[in-house]
Amino acid sequence: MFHDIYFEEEIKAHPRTRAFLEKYSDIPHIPCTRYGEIFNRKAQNFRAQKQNPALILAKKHGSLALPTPEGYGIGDPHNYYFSHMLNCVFDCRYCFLQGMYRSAHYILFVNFEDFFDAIKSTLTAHNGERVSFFSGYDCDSLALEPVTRFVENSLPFFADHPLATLELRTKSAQIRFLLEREPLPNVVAAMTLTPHRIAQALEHRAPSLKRRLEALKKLQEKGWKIGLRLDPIIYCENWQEEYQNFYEEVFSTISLERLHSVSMGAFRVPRGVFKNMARLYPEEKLFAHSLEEKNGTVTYKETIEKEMIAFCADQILTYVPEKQFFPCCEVVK
Amino acid sequence: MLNILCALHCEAKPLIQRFGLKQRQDDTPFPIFANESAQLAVCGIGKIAAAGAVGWLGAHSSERSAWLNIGIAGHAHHEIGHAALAHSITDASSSRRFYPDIVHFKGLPTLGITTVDQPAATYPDNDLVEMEASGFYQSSQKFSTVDLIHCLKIVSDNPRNPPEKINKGFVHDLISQSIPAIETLIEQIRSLIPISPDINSSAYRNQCRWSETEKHQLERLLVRWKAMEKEPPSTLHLNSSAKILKFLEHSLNELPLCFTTSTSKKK
Repeated sequence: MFHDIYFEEEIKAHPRTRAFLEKYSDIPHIPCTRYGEIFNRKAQNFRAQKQNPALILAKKHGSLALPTPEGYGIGDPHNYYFSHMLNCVFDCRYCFLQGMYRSAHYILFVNFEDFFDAIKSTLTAHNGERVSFFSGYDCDSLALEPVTRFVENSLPFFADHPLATLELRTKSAQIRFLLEREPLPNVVAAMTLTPHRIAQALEHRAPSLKRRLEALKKLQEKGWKIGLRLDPIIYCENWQEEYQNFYEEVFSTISLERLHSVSMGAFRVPRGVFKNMARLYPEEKLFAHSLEEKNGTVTYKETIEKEMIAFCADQILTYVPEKQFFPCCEVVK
Repeated sequence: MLNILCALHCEAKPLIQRFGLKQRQDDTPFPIFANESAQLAVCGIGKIAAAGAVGWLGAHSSERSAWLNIGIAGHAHHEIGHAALAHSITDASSSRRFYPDIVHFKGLPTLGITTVDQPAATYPDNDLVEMEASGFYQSSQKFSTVDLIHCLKIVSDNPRNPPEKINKGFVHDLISQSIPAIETLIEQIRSLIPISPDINSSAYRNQCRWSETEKHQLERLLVRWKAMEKEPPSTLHLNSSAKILKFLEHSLNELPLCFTTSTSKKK
């Protein structure tokens, strides 16, 4: 799973670090002062690292719960994200993580309790109002759970803090540990889904659409609230037909009764991140066609984007009520 | 191109023999041995000598080069002849530490290296100790990516076998014994050297005058055409670079965009 483990000397004695080093005793263990010495080095080969990632165990300092970008919410008045991990086991071409960091190695911040303290302080600051916390912003929330056990550690905390909503955003079918526990009303297992043909072409190493839908169905049957993240919408030939069939498949598989929320948005990444992504994968069709830069963001040409957003929103709203629908962009009808 | 750096001729000799390297006859500041795909410099002892030789090699190699420092080192408890790839390099005088990206290599043990300015009387706890790696590494970083810069060291002395016993023949034998490990490492490093996309823009560039910015725009457009697996259309009917760029961009976006697993799964 990992080729080697780097660890910050400061957390060498932390119980989680010790457990990791013991569990992965047959691979090199390399001490470092700060994770940035490895993660932020210049001139790294991201693409090669993606094939052979290392795990970096570190301590997160500074602000641990941060406000989400505008338009990123699922119904609560306040929205924050936190990143107990950086980078993802999946290799989705459209993901901003492909161009965000210099390194593809995984970072795991082992000071989970500091994240819980930060979440608690954020809740206190909002004085009795509901706050959503997104855990899958810089990583997949569940894909490495059998290794990290972050969610396992966080569920008791969220059980004690009902005003906090935890979104576990994932493409993973690693849901066994959720199925073995009693569902929490303030935890949403949110699955990112794209049409089968696009997923096959662009979501390398991720479970198929069918497996993700099966996982969602099992979670619903167990009583967990689920979210659908139908994002990003990818332009391709016959996209209307592709997305119409996709929505039909999704909404005929899951139960609308235990559906928490649906979000949607077109492919969009910051200009600098896009430049890195396109440089990394010059052979990728996704980056070659119909994109343009608008206000520092690279997205589809305006006519294409508006048409896709309007069509997809219209389709989704035939299945779900407006109050459960959270588009990450303006829908112009 | 692979650039190899050794401090001593007796470290280099087994490599020169194995890879059929020939000494360059022109005036070079260090003995340089080369064939069509590799060049080896014998830089002398110390990190300054190593950094200087890397600078010279870097100026005389192609853009995408791999770098390898091969030599002997001491260790507190590893046996004589133990070969290890560096997973960290600490410069003892500055305390700066560097981390070669070793994740791409399988089958080779790894150790930290401490580079000292003077021969050391004692051994660090876990690191190999030697005199070139930090200079080699810092200087190589100016020329390549961290996955392509590595140090392989072979234990030549430990507390039971002090460095006074080391002689040229002994070093030659140590390196010779590690040739299989070195060959495996070189093979793995070579597989990481990236290949530039094969883009030929000369037909367009010969058609009219281009500014430097437009040449870059043209290259990027042709990369996108290649990604779409289509031949760009003829632009012979157009008489300016701006018109050609606009035409190529427009024609590209008119193509149908079909995602197929066979094309997009390429790594």
